Amino acid sequence: MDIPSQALLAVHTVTALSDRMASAELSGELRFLTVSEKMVQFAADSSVVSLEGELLTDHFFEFVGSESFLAEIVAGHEALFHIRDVNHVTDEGEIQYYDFLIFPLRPGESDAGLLFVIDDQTENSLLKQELTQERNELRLIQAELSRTNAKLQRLDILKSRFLSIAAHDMRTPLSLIGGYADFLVENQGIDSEIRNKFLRIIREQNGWLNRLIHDMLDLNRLENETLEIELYAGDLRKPVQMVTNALAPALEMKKLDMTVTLPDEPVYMKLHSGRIEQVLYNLVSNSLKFIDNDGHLTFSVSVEGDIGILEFGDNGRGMYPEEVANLFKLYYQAEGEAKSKGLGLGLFIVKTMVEAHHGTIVAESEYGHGTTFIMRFPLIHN
Amino acid sequence: MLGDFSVGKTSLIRRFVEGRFDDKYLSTIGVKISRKQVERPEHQINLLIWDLAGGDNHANKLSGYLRGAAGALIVCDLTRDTTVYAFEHYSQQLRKFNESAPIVMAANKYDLSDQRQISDESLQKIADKLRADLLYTSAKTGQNVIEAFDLLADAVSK
Ligand SMILES: Nc1nc2c(ncn2[C@@H]2O[C@H](COP(=O)(O)OP(=O)(O)OP(=O)(O)O)[C@@H](O)[C@H]2O)c(=O)[nH]1
Ligand SMILES: [Mg+2]
Repeated sequence: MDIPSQALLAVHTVTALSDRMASAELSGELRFLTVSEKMVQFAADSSVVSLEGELLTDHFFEFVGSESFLAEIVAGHEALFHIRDVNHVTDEGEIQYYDFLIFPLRPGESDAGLLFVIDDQTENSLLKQELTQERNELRLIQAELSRTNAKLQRLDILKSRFLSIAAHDMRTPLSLIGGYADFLVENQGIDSEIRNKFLRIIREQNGWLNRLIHDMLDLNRLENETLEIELYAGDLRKPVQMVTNALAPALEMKKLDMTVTLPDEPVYMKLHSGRIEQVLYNLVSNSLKFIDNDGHLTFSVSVEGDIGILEFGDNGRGMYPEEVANLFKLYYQAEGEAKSKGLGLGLFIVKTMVEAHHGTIVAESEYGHGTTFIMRFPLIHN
Repeated sequence: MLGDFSVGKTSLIRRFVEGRFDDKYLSTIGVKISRKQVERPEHQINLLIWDLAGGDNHANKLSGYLRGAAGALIVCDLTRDTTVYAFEHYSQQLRKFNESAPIVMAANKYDLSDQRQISDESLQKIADKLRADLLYTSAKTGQNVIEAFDLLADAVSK
């Protein structure tokens, strides 16, 4: 709301300025000429007694930098300089709001000097402040709500995807188990070699299912932060031997090769053997997704100073750098992987388990040249 | 001091001038001027800092506040991605009055890293476009606050 300068001028000349106002005449050089009593209390320096003869910009910093615009008003080229709601904090810490206005003393006449009016808007502006405050707080809540909403939607999509893949993953081993079991029930007199082979497949598929369900439960515990892993002094070679021995028949059946390189001496560290086995099973099952004929897996344990190194590699299709970067993220799946085995949770669990052993894991991979996972663990000496 | 509402303009000034932080949010309306002297080996720079209201983008309301501006610190809130739009808007308004006014961009609330929504790249792109310096600040921890005002002080006193 602009106050018409004519009206203000009239008010000033009658010197009947309301309680809310203070005013002063300024020379063309922006020095105070006549000054109303109340003006001085608005000056930047509260100890100043009289403003007469003083330079406007020395006492009202609001005008610093605008001298040339004020000169335009003096010259009659501009009509008004209006700064709204200048905040003033009282000694009691309350905010007051003032409008600062400067306009020609005698409009239409150039070089006649200026009139400077301070208009107390506190009453109005406190209401304005309340409104602004409410509006802004509402907008903040709105922003927060839409953020939460987007996050929930994302989680929801991930969860349904997770469930559908989990169901898919379970179907294959279940149908294999069912199929072979049916066959054995109906063909009791079958050759014992074939029977044993089928039983081994059933056992192996049962193992996959078991591990899958364990992983899902672990994930739940990880999300609820209730997963606890107790570490004991143990030999890192042990879980590697366990896993490679257990895998040998299945790999043979799938016509896959395996090399295992272990040191002769034990490699002592604080570990949970079952969890390291879980790590290796997950890495193997990840590799199987990328491997074709002539697949080859390598396991090795070595020692470098205080560090035990566990490496697992394959000669599968390898990964693009972008895939490597996202590899350990929950629910992440490499391109084209969704239709094959994998929940995108295996490698997330791998990383979590390695870190629970105070270890680190990195993946080295190049598209077309296989992938190697390198885990490093602190050793103990005894 | 320019930027969307609640990005931390008042808080950055409070940290710089008074050395403290307040969790409470009180929307600014109008303008509050603070003064701070910045010491340099051979002279002093007398900074007059205009704390303005954010979120109220009417150009004609801004004009009274921007007329005398020698430069600006434009602030965004790293936890709200919509607050980056203010950079272009305010820099345009400012440079209407002062074509060569230096601009320092403060990406504020850096301490709330887990809620961050704005990437380094998008900020750097804007900074390049506006020929502005970019700093990551926190009025809460004080990170880069003095640095941001120092940068601006040197730029405007050149
Ligand atoms: N965590 C954190 N909070 C901050 C920071 N800076 C400001 N805040 C908080 O953010 C809210 C808004 O800060 P203000 O400084 O009032 O924001 P403003 O930009 O002046 O807002 P308007 O005056 O409405 O334009 C307050 O609750 C502050 O405590 C920061 O660096 N970190
Ligand atoms: Mg403010």
